[in-house]
Amino acid sequence: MDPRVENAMMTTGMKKAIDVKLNVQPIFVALYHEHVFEGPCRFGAGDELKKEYDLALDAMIYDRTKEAWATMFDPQNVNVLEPIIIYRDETFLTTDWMLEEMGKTSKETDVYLFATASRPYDLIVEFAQRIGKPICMMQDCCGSSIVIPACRARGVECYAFTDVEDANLTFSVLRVRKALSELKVLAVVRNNSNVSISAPDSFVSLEDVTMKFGARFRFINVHELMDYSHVNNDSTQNYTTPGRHDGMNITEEEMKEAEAMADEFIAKADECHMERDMVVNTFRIYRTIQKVMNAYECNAFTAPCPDVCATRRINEEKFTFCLTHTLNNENGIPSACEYDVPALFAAMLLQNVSRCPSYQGNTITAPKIGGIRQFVPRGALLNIESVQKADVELGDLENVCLTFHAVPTRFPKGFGTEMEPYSIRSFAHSGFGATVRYDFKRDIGQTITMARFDPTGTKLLVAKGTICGGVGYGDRNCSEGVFFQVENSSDFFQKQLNFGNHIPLVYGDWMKEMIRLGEVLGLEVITA
Amino acid sequence: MSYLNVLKRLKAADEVSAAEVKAILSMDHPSEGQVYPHLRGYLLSRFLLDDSVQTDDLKKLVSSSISKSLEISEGDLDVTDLSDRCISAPSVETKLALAMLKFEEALGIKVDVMERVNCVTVADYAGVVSRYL
Amino acid sequence: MSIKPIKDIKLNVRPVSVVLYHDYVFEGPCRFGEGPQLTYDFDKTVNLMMCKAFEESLTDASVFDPKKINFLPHILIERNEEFIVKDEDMEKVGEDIENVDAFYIHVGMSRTYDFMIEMAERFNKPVILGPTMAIDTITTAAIAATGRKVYPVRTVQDVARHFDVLRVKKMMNNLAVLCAARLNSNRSFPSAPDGFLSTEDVTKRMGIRFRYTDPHEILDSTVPRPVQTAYDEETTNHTTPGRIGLNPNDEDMAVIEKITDEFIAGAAEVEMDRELIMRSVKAWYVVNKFMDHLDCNAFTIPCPDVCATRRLNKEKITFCLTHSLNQEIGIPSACEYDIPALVTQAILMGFSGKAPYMGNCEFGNIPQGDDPGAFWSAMFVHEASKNEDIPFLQKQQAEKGGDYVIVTHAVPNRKFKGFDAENAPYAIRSFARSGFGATIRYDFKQDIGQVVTLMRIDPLCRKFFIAKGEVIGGIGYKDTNCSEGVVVKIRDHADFFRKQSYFGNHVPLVYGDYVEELKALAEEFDMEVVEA
Repeated sequence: MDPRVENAMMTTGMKKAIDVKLNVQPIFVALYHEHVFEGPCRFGAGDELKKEYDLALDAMIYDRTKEAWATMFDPQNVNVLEPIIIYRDETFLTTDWMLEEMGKTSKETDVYLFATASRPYDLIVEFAQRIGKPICMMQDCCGSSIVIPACRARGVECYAFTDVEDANLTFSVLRVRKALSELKVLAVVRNNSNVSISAPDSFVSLEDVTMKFGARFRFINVHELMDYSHVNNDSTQNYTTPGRHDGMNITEEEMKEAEAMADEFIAKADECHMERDMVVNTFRIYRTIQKVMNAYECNAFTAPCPDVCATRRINEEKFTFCLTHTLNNENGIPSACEYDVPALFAAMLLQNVSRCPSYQGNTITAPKIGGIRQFVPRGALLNIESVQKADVELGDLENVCLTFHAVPTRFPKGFGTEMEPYSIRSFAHSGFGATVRYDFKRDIGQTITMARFDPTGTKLLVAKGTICGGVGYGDRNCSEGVFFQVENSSDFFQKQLNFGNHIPLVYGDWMKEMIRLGEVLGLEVITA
Repeated sequence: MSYLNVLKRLKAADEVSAAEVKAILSMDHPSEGQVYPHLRGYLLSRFLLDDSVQTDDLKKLVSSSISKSLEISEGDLDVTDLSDRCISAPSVETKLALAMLKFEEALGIKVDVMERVNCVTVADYAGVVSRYL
Repeated sequence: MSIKPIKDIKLNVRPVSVVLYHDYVFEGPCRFGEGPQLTYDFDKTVNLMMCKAFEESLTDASVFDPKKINFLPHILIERNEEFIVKDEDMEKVGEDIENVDAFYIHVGMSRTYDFMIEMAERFNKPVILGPTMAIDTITTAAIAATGRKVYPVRTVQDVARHFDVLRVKKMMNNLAVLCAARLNSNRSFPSAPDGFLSTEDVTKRMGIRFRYTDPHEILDSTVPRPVQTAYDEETTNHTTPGRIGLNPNDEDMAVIEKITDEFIAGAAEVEMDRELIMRSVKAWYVVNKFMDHLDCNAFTIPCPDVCATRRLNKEKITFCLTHSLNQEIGIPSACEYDIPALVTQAILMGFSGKAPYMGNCEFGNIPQGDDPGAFWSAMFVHEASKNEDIPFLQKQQAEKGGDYVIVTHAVPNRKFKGFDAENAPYAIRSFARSGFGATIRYDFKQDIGQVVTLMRIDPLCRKFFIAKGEVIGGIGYKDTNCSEGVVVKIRDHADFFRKQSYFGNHVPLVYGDYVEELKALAEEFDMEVVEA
């Protein structure tokens, strides 16, 4: 193997989106008066008009502000840089030195947070124009409502916060936007790298997505990936890259890791209805994908399972990508079925806003019409007896929807929370392709938040529901699913028609955050 | 050509064409061969052409006539056909149709439109006309 | 195989005559004349004479090439001065409308505008009004205002030119490109990142379709397999185990061998082993089987992406000959997954009826003197290229002056003078120095003085880059590798380069001057023209 690749694999950990922090550079701009005088913008009496008084007052305000900055922001989201203080006198000079000092951390700074003593507005506006990064302020009298409009009129992105909660909300969504711009998706390609056979409701152009959100795509050919999943210390033997010694085949040692992971996975499950070797096989492709993602420095993943399915290689190799998606999502690596990139992006937003692994699946409304729960597939996709049982359990509940795919998470309550009970069943009826089975009925009453981008990447659907049932826990295949109630399922369906099939979800009510996030991403937000 | 000369030529042409019609009418059920020389004479006189014109093609006869009167080449006529723009009809077809209709009127016959339209040469038209006499 | 090359596409044109006969003898502001001129008989005679002349004009092969235009039966619509638009007449005009590409309307005597306007509006097909003495602008403005396509003309040559543009547009609509993507299916980053940013945009603007396959599956299919059994990994391909592949069987191999032998026999010089030539022919044949299977009629593959897998080296194949042979039969075929170059080829083929050429397009002026410069020295390894071609071009340049570009790639073909022309003389040499990868070598010196049209589309699919030039020589005929090329005298190199910089590297060309046609097509696609 190329030593550089090897080195990268050894040393480069995945830069997970959930670990990204927003670097906030606080700047305090203070004004002191060199001379003693009174006038329409200077008032006071006696010592209050002296320079020493101004400097002492500035120092007091600065100390108080600095102390607040250090504690007011959620450290999970924000990294507050060492504050910078700039002094100016009543000659209102804007010097190069001042601008350089204010911008000295620009390389790492994501957002500038300004606080002021007196009137340094012109300096902030000029700095904001020059630096090209968002600026923000807490509401004050009266700088925020002077500086922010002045900057906005000049095309500068800027925010002012009414309170700490508002600031934290904004910083949290700006953090997610930053993380999205640093997302690197490992996209497995067989044919069309824009859309797969099964998800033409994906983004029309990935190039547009990169231009708009900054997220990047790294492509790998599916046949080469499949070859890498074979344990081989001599990759020159790979069929699709003959003679290349830098193939990313998993090694015997890594295969042992895969086996250990499989054993742990089986041991922790309530039930395992699969042969061990088939579970190990699923971890074989999972381990391979981790290795390739590391080498490509990616932190998100998708593969066009139906396109690959048609080659018959999955059938021959005896694995599916379902468990890879589950495990990736549990690890903060957004991972989408069927090369559905809008679902992947929505999952990324949801995961980062909620700090919970997301779940993705075919989403349909299931209204009860004429005594029959409509549109729920019976037989081919979902086990007919399971659906009948769910029908009974749901009773006459209205505005019911269903999301189903065999990629549930065992940590729906959040990254790092206690693992929920699960069982293991195969995707294929013949026994291959390990999948997590999760009983969503355990969480009836739980609020969920859903999202999806539209195919043009200009709109974001954000919706809320409440879990009201589950299906497929005891089944194989793609039949695992969650029933949930929305406010108006007809409205939900009509809106979904502009977005697409798979609608990822996370536990909790994150509507406010998702709406704000959609806005800072420049998207039209549609709520349901 | 002066205006008076034009009038003189038109008068002479009227006389020739009337004589040609009269000659046809003097015959009982004339054959195509009998109609032909008088028809050709009629058309040459209507189109102000003389015997030096060789073609037997009806449209070409008209084209020669128009180009001669406008003093332009027949090729240019294709491009600059200057009929009555308001009714969209090109001058060749207009002039030919008028000559045919006037000829038939003088003979007291009415030829089927399609038979008339399908005539390419003077001989074709002579054949059609003879069947109506 | 049932591939439908775009060169065979004809424009189906429905000729329609709309005429008016006045039922009554009368005069008025829109009716004038005297005597017989006011009769129904006169109107009908004149109109039908005109219709007959119109119909006869359609058979003039010097104007309307029957290989390009297919005139459907002429429809005659007759009306009187009541100006009624009858459904029955509209139904006649609209019969089998899905097979009509354009209407060619002969405007008869008098006023029939409303019928033509409604016809254009109802059927939404391009309308060309014949070159009559009608006041065309009345109708064209009215039709254009409905958002329908209408083309004003003054001569039948104008009509033919519009038909040509519509035909090339139809070709684009019928173009289905087989894209053998290894990684990114929009463009190949290792070699042609100047490709289209999004093939979806190209589909939206030009109607071109893209079908995708995997190069590993193509390469697997180049292995002859006399017998394949479903569900049997042993007899099927690695990348599609148990699936019956498109591999050549014994019958296919016999055809491949025959084509190989004919290809060798026709060459003036052959400097390759037959076995290695056959591998290239086989690759072309298999690519054609894929195109046939996927209903495609154009092809591209990212050679550098695939090269990096080392499979081409292992299989002893390059796709140069595939591109050459495809182009010769009217199948656009582009090196390096360069889809803008492929679409350009298709357009150039459409207008010219000739096979195009594509290559890296660079500054072509050669330094005078003994030292031709590092670029020219490094590019060619064969002594003949260095000792003959370069001095020859230096001489040409010294004599003729001016600016030059050189277009180089090992994909010339034998049909530069036309798909129906005799094969031009050629040699066969390898792409790889080690001897594999058959390429056609064409001596461009035989075409000195030929006018060529160069073109490329920008990465956003919004602009045409068009230039005209004259062949002053060629290079690399006796060489191996990608060194084959044509040197073209152009108007102003600095201007050419500055403009080309916004379009990209490969600039396809075709023999002949098609600048005006390309401009008209750009207008049809609402694209900007940048001319150098």
